[in-house]
This record gives sequence, structure tokens and C-alpha cells, in this order.
Amino acid sequence: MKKGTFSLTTGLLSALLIMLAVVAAYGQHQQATIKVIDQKNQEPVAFAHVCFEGLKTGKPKYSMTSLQGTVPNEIIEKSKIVVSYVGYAKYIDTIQPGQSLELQLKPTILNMDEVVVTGQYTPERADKSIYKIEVINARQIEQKAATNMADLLKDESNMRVSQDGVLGTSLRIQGLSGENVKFLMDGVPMIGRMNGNFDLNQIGLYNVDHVEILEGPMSVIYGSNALAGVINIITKENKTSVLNTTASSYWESVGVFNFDASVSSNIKKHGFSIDGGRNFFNGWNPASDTSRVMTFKPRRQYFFDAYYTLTTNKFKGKIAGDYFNELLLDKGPLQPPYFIYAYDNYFTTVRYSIRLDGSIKLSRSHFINILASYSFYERQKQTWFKDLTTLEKTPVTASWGQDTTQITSWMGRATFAKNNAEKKFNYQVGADINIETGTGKRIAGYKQEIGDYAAFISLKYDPVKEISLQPGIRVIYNTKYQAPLVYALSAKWNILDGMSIRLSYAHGFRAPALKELYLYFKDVNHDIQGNPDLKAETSNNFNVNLNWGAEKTKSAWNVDITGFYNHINNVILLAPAGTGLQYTYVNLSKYMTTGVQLSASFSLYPSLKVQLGLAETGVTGSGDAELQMDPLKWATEISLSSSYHFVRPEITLSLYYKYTGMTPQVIVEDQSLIWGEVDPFNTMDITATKGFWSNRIRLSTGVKNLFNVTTIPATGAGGGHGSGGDGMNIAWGRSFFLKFTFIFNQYK
Amino acid sequence: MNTSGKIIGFILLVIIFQSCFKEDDMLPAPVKGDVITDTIAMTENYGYQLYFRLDPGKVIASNPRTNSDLGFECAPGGWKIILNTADFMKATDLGQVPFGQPFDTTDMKWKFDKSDGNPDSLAIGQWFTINGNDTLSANHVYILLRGLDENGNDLGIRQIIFDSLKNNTYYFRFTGLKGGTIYSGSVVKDPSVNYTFYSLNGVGSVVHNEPPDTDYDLIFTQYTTLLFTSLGQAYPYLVTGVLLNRNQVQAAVDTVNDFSSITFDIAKNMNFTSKLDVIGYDWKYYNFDAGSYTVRTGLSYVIKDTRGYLYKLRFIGFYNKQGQKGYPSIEYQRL
Repeated sequence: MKKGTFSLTTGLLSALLIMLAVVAAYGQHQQATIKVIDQKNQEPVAFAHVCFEGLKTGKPKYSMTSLQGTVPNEIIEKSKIVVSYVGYAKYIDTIQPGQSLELQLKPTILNMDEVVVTGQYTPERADKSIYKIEVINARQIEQKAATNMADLLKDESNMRVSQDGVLGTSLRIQGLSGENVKFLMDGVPMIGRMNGNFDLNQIGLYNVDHVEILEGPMSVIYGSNALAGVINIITKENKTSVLNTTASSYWESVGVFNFDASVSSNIKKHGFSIDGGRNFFNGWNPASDTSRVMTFKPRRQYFFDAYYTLTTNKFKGKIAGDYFNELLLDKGPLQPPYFIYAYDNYFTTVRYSIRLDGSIKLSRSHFINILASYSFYERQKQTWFKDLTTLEKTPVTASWGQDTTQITSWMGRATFAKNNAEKKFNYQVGADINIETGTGKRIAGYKQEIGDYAAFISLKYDPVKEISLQPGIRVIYNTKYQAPLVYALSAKWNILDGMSIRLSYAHGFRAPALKELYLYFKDVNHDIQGNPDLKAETSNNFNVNLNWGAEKTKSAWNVDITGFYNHINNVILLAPAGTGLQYTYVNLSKYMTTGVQLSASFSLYPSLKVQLGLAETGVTGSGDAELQMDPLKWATEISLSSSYHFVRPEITLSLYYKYTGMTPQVIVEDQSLIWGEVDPFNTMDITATKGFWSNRIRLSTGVKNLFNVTTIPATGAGGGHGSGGDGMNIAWGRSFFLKFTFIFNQYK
Repeated sequence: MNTSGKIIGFILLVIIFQSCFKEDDMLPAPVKGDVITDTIAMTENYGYQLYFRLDPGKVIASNPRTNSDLGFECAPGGWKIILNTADFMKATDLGQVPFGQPFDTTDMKWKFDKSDGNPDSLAIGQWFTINGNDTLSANHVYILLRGLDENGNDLGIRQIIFDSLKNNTYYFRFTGLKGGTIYSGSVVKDPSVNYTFYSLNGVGSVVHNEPPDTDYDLIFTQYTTLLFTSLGQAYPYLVTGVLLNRNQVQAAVDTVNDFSSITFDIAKNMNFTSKLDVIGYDWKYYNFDAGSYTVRTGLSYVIKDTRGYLYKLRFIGFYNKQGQKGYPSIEYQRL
């Protein structure tokens, strides 16, 4: 072969090889991609959740869209693809291996298709649920710049949040106190109530995905404490393989400094998350009060939680744990005659829990859920003698100087459900066990235990497509009381497209809790004693709800009207027991709340959302079952929330206004009722939110309590044992805040 | 954003948004000059009686308050017998009845020693008749309720008869309420003290509680006094306070002048009294709202001690640093 011929051949062969290599290489990198864009503005939707579920194997694979709105198609069989993201309607289709796809997500204005789990046989859309469920999602939490449950719920219609400097923040729903509201964390009942309520300041929102609120009786499904409703806090869960790291800092001018961070991801079947943080509050006094005794006490919180999940085709298991530690300082006044000494109380709260959660999909229609948990709560008081000339402190060893109360709870719950939307008849059966033990010198006999063993059945019957009926019954054995049968009936009628009416009735029962029976809490401002002779509360509860709405291309509106009636016998109330600050629990023979709630919302895409709420709640009661109840005392609430999104600068302005009208308060004295009033007041928060660097950084700023509400006068029966001076503490005045959130996503 | 930027941003978030509990501002210690501060350890259940001397400002003697039942006057010509009111003792005079037989306390009317020290108001009043130089018994039998200890336990009941006072010695006999073994007791007068005490525990014993009567000024003790309802009905009550050294010390109460402004010229013109309970218990009160005792720091006293010197005094506390009650703090100054 001649030299030149060899060169040409070699060159051609080389070129061919190179071309083949390039083609091969290109073919290897030519991966199918799914692109997700906003239907209206055609912009890519980042961080959308994408689930591929093989049609043959049923095996789910989760992913998240990138900043460019893309996710690779790496499936090996024909699959169902489900794409979801807050503010958009869920997209469902099928997809082949190697198929590239551009799909459009339709913005939903009303969030009507939020998926909820509370009270459902299986996860269900909120608008399809037989119960009226309100969802507060992550976006709303961000827009409110809420840092804890007190912050989040204070503007909600028909909810009343009140403050105690030491015991914290408590809640009333439908005129019923917090003992009648069941708080769940991922379905597990929370423990550690002081004076019957949870301190909502201790329930942070750093890892909350959304909050599901069910107003109305849920005693059949959730047992005791659920007469007024259920609030289920659903924590975040990363189902994608994206390594997500988030860090957030919050500052409020009154002296709040919060920080939290989290890391989460999924590796094949295994998911994990670790998060934690620190919250700090400097304490607050009115400007005119320079004493060391704070109206709102300084507190420092540490928190940590983690989970591990295992997900297969038919099974999902989760083990999760959380830890919370709070130190609250209650500084005492300087002692005369030289005002150089003081007695300070340090309250330490420790709360932790471990929970196991398993879901088994036996078939397309049959499901088993198992939930088990151990929860621990401890509140410790230590008093210190402080010498302000040397700043030394000495522990008070007298008996009044220390006190520790512990509560532990074992909980187990199992349900079996048949749920097939195509069938007329579905059902759920279940059993749960709750054993709560309290120890402490403030508990009679030092240790007391209450066991609650129950079985329940709920049937769902859809005689026609538009109507759904759901009766339920719960049988309870309680170790302290003869528990009555608990039953309920709910119904839903889809009258027209976009209009539905819901009705529910429940007969409920609530055993007095450990602290109502045996607890004793006394300090400078409180003297609360349990009453072992308490009878259980029994109740009849009715709710009716009409919901009507429509969603068009650029606008949507919704009207929601709810009426409720709660009649409780032997209701347990905290009432004055004598002189001064002595309070105890008593069975107020009859108590009734009734009212109506109206909510109207309107949205104009892409910018405007307005929601107006009006609630009228009447309360009354009778200290003696033989006597007629007093005339109803009414309280009015008006709420307005609105947001406007400025498209170009990508800034969202939000406004939250609430008018709380004159609120009646009742005190029981010698079997008769004495009524007092808390004066009306207005509150308003304004926030601005913006994302930077493709939403890697989110900034929120604004003003809370614009009208500078602090203490509201209370007359007649007084402002309650937690009020300061002659009024009721509402808030710490006007404050400004700033919140930074960093989001780092590492895509694999 | 590159990795460095993320890390820097993360660290900034952690550092900037942090804070800690603010420490109190240190306060200057008050300048007291010649004013002396002392704390008297009566203990949390007021189990002790303490004899205090203003100069040199110390507790001279102390005793558990339950270690005696009766006090016998030691002054020349003295004859009075007092109850231990710190134990909430009471007595009734049955008159001339056979001694040593069983008695039933139902319907008995009880008397207390008045806390002001008035000799006309003692539960065991005049128990004698005079025969020449001797004091002879009127042969009255007395029933004594011995009261309660610091934990509220009942100390029991005795019946007693006082036989005579001869050669500066008291003679008496005692036994249980239902009779039984009769014990004889005697107490010799000690001229250096106001009273010599006797315990009716077991077979009985003499107890020397008091220091010499010129060696102390005040007694910190529980004692029984009469309180009055809003309708004027009197009822006995066990209080915690201060009694004067009887026969030796006088005091006056000043509710007008601030403690720091009381001078010798103001004090010398005050109305002094020998009433034992002039200082008493009223310098503190139970504050139901606070759930603790509050001291009236605006109340001052002027005391004329055993040598005639004037002191101003006030109470400034009732709790120790460990938060235990029963530790009154006083400040005082010689004028």
C-alpha cells in the first residue's frame, strides 16, 4: 500500500470511528427529560414534586424539578406520572421510558385540591372529604411569617388565642377551650398540657409541611379531647433523591432570634431527614415598665428531630423522633426595703417522642395503617435567690422552691380500611390504646395513670354519586370512668358542581385528664388544684356547612357558611375556688356554644387573593342542671386576609387583619355563673416576601401587631388567672421582623 | 451560588440571628453606716425560742420551744406560774376537787396567758393563800392542755396541783388526765433569771431556758395571743414574733418616721411600754396574692435595753436565701 493511500484510509476510518463515537456518546447523553412549566406564564416550575409509579410493578420513584423545571426520565417501564406543587393543580398522566415530555401545571387559586389525611380512610383531597377541613399550607405559613402555632392560628376565624406569661399561649375553638381540641403531630396525640392547654409557643413550624384543621366533633376516630376538633400538624418529608439543605433565620424587633436548619434526601428506598435549631425570646415589658418582672417571659428553646423511611411497592414505614427543650425565666420583683434581692423562677420543659408509622397497601382498595409512639413530657421549676449586688444566685431549697412534673404516654393505633372510590360501600375499622402516666409531687399520690382502650368502626356509603353518608361508632374502656358509647353521623351532598353541603352529628365523651384530677400548680401568680371528684364530660355536637365556589381561567371565588351547636354536660372548667388566685376544676353542669361562621374568598390570577371571614359565637351555661341556662352571650370576630403578588419584582405583599369583639368570660361561684367581659380589639400584620437567585434565598419582612395591642381591659369576672393587672395580655405590642431562608438543593 | 458563598451565607445566618439571656445590671450595695443587720434562725417551723441581745448583737441562748411546759417566777416575792404559750398551751381551773382522779375535758372552759404579760390575765392565776411567810396552796386542781409541737402533734394532757411555795421553792404534783402515777416536782427560784421552767414530760424535770435577765433584750418565739373577728369575738391564735425581756426592757412603736430618720432626740420622747408583745408579730403579714409573708419595712421600733440605752430597730425580711420562712432579718442601730 502506498504511503498516501494508507493515510487517506486511516483518516477516513478515524473519522468514521470518531463519528460513531460521537454519535454513541451523544446517544448516551441524549437523556429523556420532562419539563414542567406554568400553564399561564409559561415559566418553568422549579422544585415541583414528580412521582413515577410503574404500571406493572407499582413501584414509586420520587424526584424534584430543577431550577430549570426539568427532571430526567429514567424509568424502565411505562409509568404513571404525578406532578404536584403548592399552588398548582396536580398533573396526572402516563409516560413511556425514554419519552421526553413538556407538561403544563395549571395554577389553582383556591387550593381546593390540597391532600389531607386527618380523619380520612386514605389520603384524600380536602374538597372531596366528608369533613370540612381547612389546610394552612407552607406558602401561607411563609406569607404570615409565622414561627409557631400561636402565630399561625391567632388570625384564624373562630379561634381565640390567649396569653399567660408563664403557662404560655392557649386556644379556644367554637367557644370551647383547648382541652377539647386534639393536637396531633403526624397523627400522634401530643401530651404536656398545662392548665388544660398546650403552650402553642412550644410548637414550632420549622419542619411543618402543612396544618390540617378539622372543626367539629371527631370523637369516633380520635377519641377523647376531640369535641371541638382536631389540629394535625404534618411534618415535611422529602420523597425525592434531591439532597435538600435548608437554613432559616428569623429576627423580630421585640427580641426574637430564631434559627433552624435541615438536611434531607432519599436514596433508593430509604429516606432520611435531620433538622434542628434554636429559638430565643428576650422577654417583653411595656415601655413604661422598667422592672425586671416581665409581662412576657424570656425563653430559650432547642429542638431537634429526625426520621428514617423505608418505601416499597406496597409498604411504607417511618420511624421518627423529636426532642424539645425550653428554659423560661420568670424573674421576681426586688424585695424591700433595699430592693437588692429577688426570687427568680426557672421553668425547664423537656419533651421528646419516638413514633413508628407503617402503611401497608394490601390491594388497590385495602389498606392497613399502624401507628405507635412513646411520648415524654417534663416540666421542672427551680427557684433561685438572686443577690443583685454580687449577681450571685443561690438555689431555694425550701419545698416551694422546686417542683417537677412528668407525663409519659404510650399510644398504639391500628386501622384497616377498604376505600374504593368506584364502590358505593367502604369502611374503616380500628383500635387504639392510650396509657398516660403522670408523676410529680404536684400529683396526688405522686403517680397516677389513666388507660383508654377503644375500638371503632366507620362506614362510608354513597347511595348515589352525589351523596355520601358516614356513620361511625366507638367503644371505649377507660380505667378511671365508665365511658359512654361514642357515635357520629356525617353526610355530604354535592348539590351542584362546585356546591356541597355537609352535615355532622356526634355524641362525644371526654374523661378528665390527669392534671384536672390530680395536678397542683402554685406559684406567685397561679394556684391551680385538681379535683379527683370530677365527672366525665358528655356532649352532643352538630355542624352544618355549605360550600359554594367556582374557578375560572383568571378568577375564582368561594363562599363557605358553617353553623355549629355544641351542648356539653358536666363540662370541666377552671374556676376560682376561693380567695385570691385559687382555681380548681369543676363540673359546670351545662355548657353550650353555638354560632355561625361565614367565609368568602376571591382570587384574581395571578396577583390578588382576598378572604373575608365573619364569625358569631354564643356561649352560655348553667351551674346547676336543674336551672335554665343564662341567655347566650355573643362574641363577634371579623377577619380579613389578602395578598397581592407584584409579578415583575416578584414581591408578594400580604395583610392579615382581625377584629375580636367583646368576649364573654364565665366564672363559676357557688354553682352560679358570673359573667365578665374582655373588651374588643383589632390586630393587623403586614408582610412582604421575595425570592432571590431563583428562590435559593427567600426574604420576608414586615410588621406584626400594627395597632400595638398589648393589654385589653377585662371587666366583671375578670381577665382570668393569667391576666396581668386589670386586663388580659394579648400581645407584646408592635414589632418588625426579618426572615431569611436559604435553600440548597443538590440534584443527583 | 458557589459552595463558598453557601457556607458563608450559612455561617452568617447562624451568627447574626443569635442572642442570649441578658444578665441583670449589678446594683450598688446600700450604705448602712452604723446600722447592723442580723438574721435570727427560728427555723422553718419556728421550732426554737431565741434570746437576743442588742449589744453586742447576738443570740445569747436558744432552746426548742417544746422543752418546757410551765414557768415559775423567780423574783423575790414572785409567785406567778405561766404556761408555755409557744406550744399553744391552755389550762382550766377545776377548783377544789380530788386530785388524781380521772377527768373528762368535755365542756371544760380553757384559758390562755395573755401575751402582753399582764399578771391579772394568767391562766393559772392566784393559786395560793398566804400564811405568815409561806404561800400555801388553795388546793385547786388544774387541767393543762400541753399544746402542739412544731409538726402539729398533740403533746398531751396533765392534771396538776400546786402545793406550796416555801423557802423559795415551788412544790407541786402532777399526773395524767385519767389519773395513775402521781409525780412530785419542785422548782427552786434562781434570782438571776425571770423564770425557771419545768417540763411535765415523763417524771418531770427542771429546765433552765432563760439566760440571766440582764443578758438579753428580746425573745424571738412563737406565742399565743388573742385575735378578734370582725364581730369582736376573741379567739386564740399561735403567732410568730418578738417578746420583750419582761421587767427589764421597754419599747415604743414608730409608724410615722422613716427608719433612717429616727434620731435620739426623736426616740427619747416616745411613749415606751413594758407590754411584752409591743413588738409582737404584726411587723409581717401573709400576702395571699403572693402566697408568702411580706414584712412591713415601714414599721420601726425604739427599744430601751436592759442598761437603758436606746436602739432603733426594724424588720427587713422573713426568709433566708434558701427561701425558708422562719428566718426574720432585722436591722438596728444604737442611738
